[in-house]
Amino acid sequence: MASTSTAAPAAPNSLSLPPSQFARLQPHAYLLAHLSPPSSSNQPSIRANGRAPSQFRVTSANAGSLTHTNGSAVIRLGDTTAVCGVRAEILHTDDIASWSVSQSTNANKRRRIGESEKETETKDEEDRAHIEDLNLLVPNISLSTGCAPGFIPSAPPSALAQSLSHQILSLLHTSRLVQAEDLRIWYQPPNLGPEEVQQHNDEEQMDLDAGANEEETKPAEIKAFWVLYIDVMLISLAGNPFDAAWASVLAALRDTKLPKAWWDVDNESILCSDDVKESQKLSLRGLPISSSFCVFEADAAAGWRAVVIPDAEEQKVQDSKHSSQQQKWILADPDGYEEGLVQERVYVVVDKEEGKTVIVKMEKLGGWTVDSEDLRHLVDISAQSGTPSESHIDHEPHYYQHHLANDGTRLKKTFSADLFEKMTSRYSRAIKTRRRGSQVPAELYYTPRAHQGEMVSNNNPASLTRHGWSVLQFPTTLMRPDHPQSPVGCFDWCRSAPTALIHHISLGRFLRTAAHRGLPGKALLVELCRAFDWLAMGGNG
Amino acid sequence: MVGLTASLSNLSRSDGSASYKCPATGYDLLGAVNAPIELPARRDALKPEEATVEVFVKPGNTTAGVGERYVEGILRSVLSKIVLGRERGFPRRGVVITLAIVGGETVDRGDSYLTILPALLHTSLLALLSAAVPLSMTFSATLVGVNKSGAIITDLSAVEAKAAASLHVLAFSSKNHLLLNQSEGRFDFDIWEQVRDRALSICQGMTTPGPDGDIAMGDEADSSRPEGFVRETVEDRLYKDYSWKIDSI
Repeated sequence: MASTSTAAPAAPNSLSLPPSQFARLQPHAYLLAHLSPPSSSNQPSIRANGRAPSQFRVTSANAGSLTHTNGSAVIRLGDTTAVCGVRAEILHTDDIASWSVSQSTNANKRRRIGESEKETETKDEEDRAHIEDLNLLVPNISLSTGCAPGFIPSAPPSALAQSLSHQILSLLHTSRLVQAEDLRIWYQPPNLGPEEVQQHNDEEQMDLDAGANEEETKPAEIKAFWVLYIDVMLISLAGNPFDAAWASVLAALRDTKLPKAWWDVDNESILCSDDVKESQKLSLRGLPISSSFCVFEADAAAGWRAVVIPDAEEQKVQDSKHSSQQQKWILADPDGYEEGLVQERVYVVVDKEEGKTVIVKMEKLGGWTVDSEDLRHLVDISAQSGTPSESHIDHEPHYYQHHLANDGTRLKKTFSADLFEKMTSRYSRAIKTRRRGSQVPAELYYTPRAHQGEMVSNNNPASLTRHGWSVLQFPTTLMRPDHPQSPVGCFDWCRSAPTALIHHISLGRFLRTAAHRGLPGKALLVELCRAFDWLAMGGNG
Repeated sequence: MVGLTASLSNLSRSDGSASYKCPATGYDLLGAVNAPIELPARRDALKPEEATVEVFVKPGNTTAGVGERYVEGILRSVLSKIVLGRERGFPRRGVVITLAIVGGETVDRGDSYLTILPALLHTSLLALLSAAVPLSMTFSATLVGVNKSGAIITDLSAVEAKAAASLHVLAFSSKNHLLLNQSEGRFDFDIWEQVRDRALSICQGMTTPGPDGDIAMGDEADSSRPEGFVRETVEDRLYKDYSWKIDSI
């Protein structure tokens, strides 16, 4: 009896749940309670993550983080992090099966039309044909990085990853972001008057496949194209993968520099200049910014009951009657928790053209509550506040110093053994302190030029870049404590990864794992040296 | 949307099926629905309280790629909202829709899937109706293009769609809700509203059921309108299936 009487006062406590448990048990009611607080409480309607319904998460962008890509970017949208690397490879026109045929037909077309207004149209058409038909842009999105519990690491690409890849590709095509002219490598044949005889021999051989009208004009010809391989890895997924992926693609393309390339007649091959000054940035058309929204409906049981759904017009009248009680909320930039509770999604991609808002893509699916009024509102929101990445990309310092050098040897030179030790001890210390909840640097910087490599934390990245620092970024959200993998395992994983992009990431993961496991500094160093040696060998041994 | 033809229950082994032909775009589709069925080996992925809608799109001459994954996602999100997956016998089961593109232009890598989307939507709706899957509403979809001079064009062929400045696929429910909007290309919102109105009039036409559920039967053929077309196809099939009964009266 005594025991029950002591337990009785504790009973109400044990029945009331802490918010975190309530959120797991009744997710819909939890979010609804946040969005529609009782009118007596005088609290504002706010989402469970503390944001207002149309508030986006804080976006940060970091361009040029990966040193051996042509352009790269790390984008963070709250806890969603995407890394994008752009690699350029050369596609010879000789390797394009239908090249000579399609060229001659195009030339004919141009001659026939000839008018100035149609000229731009055919140019556009040619741009489209080159980029789309020759597949010069190859985006790929990988979610199998252990970014969220639902995605198994190193599993085949999920349906979501595949459809995201398609969305990115079709948006790159329809927005016509990349200009085909930037990707062409031209060759202007010299006018060799006196060497007519030699020329003639060449001509005879060429007559076999090409037309014989090159003698008099000698127009410049396209010898090759740059193909841009755009690899996006979502290393942490907390909702809204499309915005993060698109922003990272955009930032990486803005960062992309292509080396100067020309056709060398003597070698009969394309040569590239290794001078960074001669390389050229891509000139992109506009800056389409994507914003995603989801629609949270108050009635969780809407799908349960076999209610008769009213006509669209009737529903509008009804809604205006019950205007005191809001039935739906449009949430901008949903996080993972909110995404699990909604079905209706809206994606808007807008661009600015001479001060006017142009919609590049508008997608709405999965429900029937949003119609033109809401869509107009969402387009307005995306046009003004939906440009977080724009401002950030512009103000972000560019870190690349030598990223055009595509060899692993530079790594070996710049990373001396004691730098490793410094870096690892610094990093493991950082992680330990983070676990205690204090503020720690997320990135560590090294200088590629000074061999005595001094370590700096990211207290002020902007001032660092001014002094010519380069950044090596270790994503902090890679290791999930419930997936402990040994550092050796990580290294093996990194070895099997196909792209240069992954080395940095797996390195960060590797360090983190090691720190997580409390590996002694010496053993860690040995592993790290192995990793760097392997990288220095070109990463494919 | 002129001259659409469709027939129901062509396949004998699936629960429901439909074939669909759109002469304007040349698409010829075959859809099959099996519902409700057990989805083996997917127990953990199933939601306990409702049916799982699965859509598979099979292109005519290749294997399915990323574009098909994308369009499957769109179809799934539209259809799973319409299928009453909590009806008796449906929870924990699957509604599997398979759509085969039998004829018409193939969609290349990175190409817009919008040209074929209305046909896919209509085929899956007809197949669902043929399988007697409970639905909360029917819908109709259409492709509308805007050309470079800003004029709205309907009944686009594949070539016209390539040249258009923007392409829009809109689906409206039988109760005039906007169910799906897919727009790509460059346009502004005013143009989109015009497109919406145009698409609504195409989809619904004059044959929307009145408030009392009656259908105002016009003199002209309904089948030029997708909504009337879906209704007519189903009516034809019913007439055929129940001919023994109708004749005996």
